[in-house]
Amino acid sequence: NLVSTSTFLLSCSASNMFETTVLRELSGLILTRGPKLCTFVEWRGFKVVYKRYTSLYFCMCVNQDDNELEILEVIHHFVEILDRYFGSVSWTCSSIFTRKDHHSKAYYILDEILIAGELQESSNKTVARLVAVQDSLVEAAKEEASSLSNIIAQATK
Amino acid sequence: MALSGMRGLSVFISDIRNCQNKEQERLRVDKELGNIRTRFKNEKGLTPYEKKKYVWKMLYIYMLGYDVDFGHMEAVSLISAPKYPEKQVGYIVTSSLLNENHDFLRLAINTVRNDIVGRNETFQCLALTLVGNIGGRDFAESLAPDVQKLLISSSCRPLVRKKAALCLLRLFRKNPDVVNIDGWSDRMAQLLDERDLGVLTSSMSLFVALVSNNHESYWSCLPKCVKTLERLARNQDIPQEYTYYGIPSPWLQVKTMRALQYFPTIEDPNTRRSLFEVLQRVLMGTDVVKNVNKNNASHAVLFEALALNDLTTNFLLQTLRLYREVCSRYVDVILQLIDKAGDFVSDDIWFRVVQFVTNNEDLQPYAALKAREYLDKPAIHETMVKVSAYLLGEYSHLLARRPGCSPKEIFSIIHEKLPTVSTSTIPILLSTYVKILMHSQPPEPELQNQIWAIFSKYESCIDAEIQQRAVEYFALSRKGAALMDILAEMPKFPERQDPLWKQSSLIKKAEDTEADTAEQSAIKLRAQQQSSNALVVTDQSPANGTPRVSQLSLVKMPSMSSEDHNTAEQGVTQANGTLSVVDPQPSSSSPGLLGDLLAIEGPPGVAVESEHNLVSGSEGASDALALAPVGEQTNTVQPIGDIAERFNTLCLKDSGVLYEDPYVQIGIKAEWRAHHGRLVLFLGNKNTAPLVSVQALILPPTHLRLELSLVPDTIPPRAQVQCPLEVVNIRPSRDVAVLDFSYRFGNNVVNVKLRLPAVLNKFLQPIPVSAEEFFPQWRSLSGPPLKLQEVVRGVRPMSLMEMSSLFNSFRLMVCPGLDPNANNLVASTTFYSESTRAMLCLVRVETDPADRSQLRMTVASGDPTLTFELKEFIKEQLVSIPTALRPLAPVPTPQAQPTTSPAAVSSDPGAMLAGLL
Repeated sequence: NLVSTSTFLLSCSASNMFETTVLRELSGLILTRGPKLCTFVEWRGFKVVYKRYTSLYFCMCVNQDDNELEILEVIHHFVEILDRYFGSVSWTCSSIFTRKDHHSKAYYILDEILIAGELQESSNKTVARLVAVQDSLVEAAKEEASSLSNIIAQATK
Repeated sequence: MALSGMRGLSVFISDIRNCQNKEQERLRVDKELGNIRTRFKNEKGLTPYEKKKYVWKMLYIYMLGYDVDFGHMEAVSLISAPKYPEKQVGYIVTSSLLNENHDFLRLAINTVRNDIVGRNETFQCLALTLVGNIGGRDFAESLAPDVQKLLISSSCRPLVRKKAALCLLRLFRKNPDVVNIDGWSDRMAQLLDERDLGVLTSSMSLFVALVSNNHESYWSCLPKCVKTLERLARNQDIPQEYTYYGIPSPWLQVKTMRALQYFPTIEDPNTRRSLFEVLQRVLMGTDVVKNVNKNNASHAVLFEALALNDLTTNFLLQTLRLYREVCSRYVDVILQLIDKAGDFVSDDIWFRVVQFVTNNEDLQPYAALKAREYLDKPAIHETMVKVSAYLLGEYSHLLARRPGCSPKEIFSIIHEKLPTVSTSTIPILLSTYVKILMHSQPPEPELQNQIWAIFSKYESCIDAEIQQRAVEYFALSRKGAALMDILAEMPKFPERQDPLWKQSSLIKKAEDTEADTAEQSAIKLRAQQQSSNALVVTDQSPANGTPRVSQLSLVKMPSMSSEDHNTAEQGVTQANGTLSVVDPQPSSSSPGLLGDLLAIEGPPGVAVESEHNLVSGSEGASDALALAPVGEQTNTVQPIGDIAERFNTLCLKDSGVLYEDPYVQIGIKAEWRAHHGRLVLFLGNKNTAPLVSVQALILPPTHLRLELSLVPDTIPPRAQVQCPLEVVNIRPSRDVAVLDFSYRFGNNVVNVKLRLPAVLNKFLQPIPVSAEEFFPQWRSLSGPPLKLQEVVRGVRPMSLMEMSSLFNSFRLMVCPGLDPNANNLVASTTFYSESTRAMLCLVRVETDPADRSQLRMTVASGDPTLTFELKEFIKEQLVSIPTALRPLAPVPTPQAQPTTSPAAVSSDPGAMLAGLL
């Protein structure tokens, strides 16, 4: 149910279209709009709020009575955090789609910002801190695994 | 070994990037999907690590826009991996690829629950995020209590609790029936005290969902919301990281305001004041700035604040004030512009100023004053002459009392400019002169001659426009009274042209509210002054000494004190220049009247000698005081038509004439909406001389709140003044408001007290009910005092059809077919007042076809007073009082013309009956 979840769609550069119906429809709707047009579009009884950053479009589908300016700034808030995390150059060149771990990181970050379509945390520092903790957990596990395999390798020499 | 898998992903991504076209990309993706599928099928013993790398690839493919319809099982199974990296991937990929309808999700419920109740907070976070994003009914059933516990747990850290809040929100939205929120008002109130803004933001979202479902349980949270808003608006104790482009968490502000919108009112004055301050801050502090994000965020807050306007009417008033301020600023700026750079100001700009001022009454005196000030300057631009002349022609009379603003002075300062202006400006000046002439009342002969001389001079002007105006104005200004109508103020321009504020509805609403709130003290004062509640009205004695008739009418005054006084009435008549007082009390003629009726003397001062009239009038008053508390009655003017009949007509209609005499006509137009009414009194001077000392006071009954706008002291000749009157019905009552209207025309002082048709039935709204709605309601209102029954006798003879249309005429909707007995009649309506709100009223009338003079009536509603008052009201309409009571009326002296006096009494059955009761 799109209504209650205010589904967040991490959309796509123009060449890579999503295939599910919803996304295809939305892409058709949004990608054809000129840059000077309003970034709020009515769609199937909902409102789609989108914003374009270089070749990436971010859109949120929300209820009719939601405050679209607020939503627009939620998107920007997310983008600012991505910006800070990846560094502005690397992610804006669609690196989310080209670097092996960027797309997964984008998901972690999103999960720290939105749940159930609602804003969870508005402090970018807090989000950055929590994502860093997760990263360190993953790193720690990796090191542990490699040291284990080293030990095994040593032992079986 | 560890790196090889991820290297696979890197290779895959770079392959995709190197694809030349969509087709190549699809082939590459299909190949990879086939590969992953084979792995999952063949290699039973995949380690969590291996699963992880394939699942990542699936997510990447999904992100590129391809359907991934397998491998869900593997993704879900990763959730139960013991190590964080695998578990994390499992959770994220599951919540991306699956939705709540996937059966595989059920397999994960137990693991998810273990993670939620377990001690590892990173696991708790992952689990709560998944449930918050895709949790369905099964999750709600088995997890809601655990999530609730986490949210309010004092041992949990904010990072867990904020996720728990949103997770609960999701479960509640999806399955409000499953999530038990009984007793959550206290917990919610506690949560709203949260200092951590992340937790507070999430909790506020949850709160919005809870109040939108049912605000009643959460009144205790309201002050906390206001406090939160205050904290944010004042930027108190807000960490830097929670300000967004300098704005303290705009999202939390928006959410909090959204929550407040679900509460219909704010009872507590302190809370209301705090909220008002916050909103004021938002309103005043929102500017358009360059930074688009800051703009968006601040306007997001502003729009949300505007949606809150029902909660705090003051806020609207503030908006209105701001609007007015902006208007006057606009006028200021344009005038300055004309002054400093008149050559660059095109005509349409000064037209706009005129349009603006015309449409904003508050602005008119201000604009006139400004225009007057500019004229004092030694050399002014011609455009300034135009706009000033126009404004002063229309509105200089509003400045009349200021020094240098008499018609004469205004005229001469404008006329000074005439030699300096071009032909295009002269017509404007001529119009201004004729307007000044019209406004100078009484006419000043000197000024008149001066202006006429100018008109004569231009009658032969070579410019056709100037010539025509001069000729016409000259002729018109000799017509006297007709001048007033023709030269009346310009009407307002259509709203859509209002350049600054198109949302006129908001303004109107604000103005209405302002009228609503401003009045209390004035009314109280008046009520005190009217503590003696007798009252009466007489009009007679035409000034020319012809035989006169007594005019009598009755008014039931609302009781101001606790004792219920009765109607007073009196008859006064005057014949052949002598005064006779008729005491209505003699027991023989009015046995039914109670003892405290008051008789009031008519004016003794009927003498035509005008210079003595006032004096004798006051003597008469002092005589009368012994008898009547109402004070002087110096009416010497005969009304036209029957006051009581006019009132009765207006009780059923919303526009018509309330009162008329040779000098004045009072028309009325009313609009009713729920418990609000807006009446407009049209005070029209019918004559060619001004009416002076005009006074209109409202004597309000206790159940109505009335606010009459300012009534001007003078009504110019042939002019009509509109005075809006706002009515709010507080509770059911049949009492009637009275307009105490007086004026002086020449030497005649006229005072009339007129009942206003703001009567009970105006607050009814007919509503059709079906049998399914009617009968349960009828049965549930089982007996007194909510349901009253009475046998009414002395009913006016009328057919059932006539009775139906009578009922419909006072807004009781007859519902045919509800009562199986054709001799019965069932009707329904909604009554509106502040105390009862909208309340359904049901009426049943049982008639006897053999005897139409009696019937049995049953009235039911949810309010005992309403039931009683409505029953009495309907009875008054049904009973044939006029003929029956005629003999009770005080009999005028035989010389009186019989047509007016008895009719006046007899056609006022409501008041008469009320007096008798």
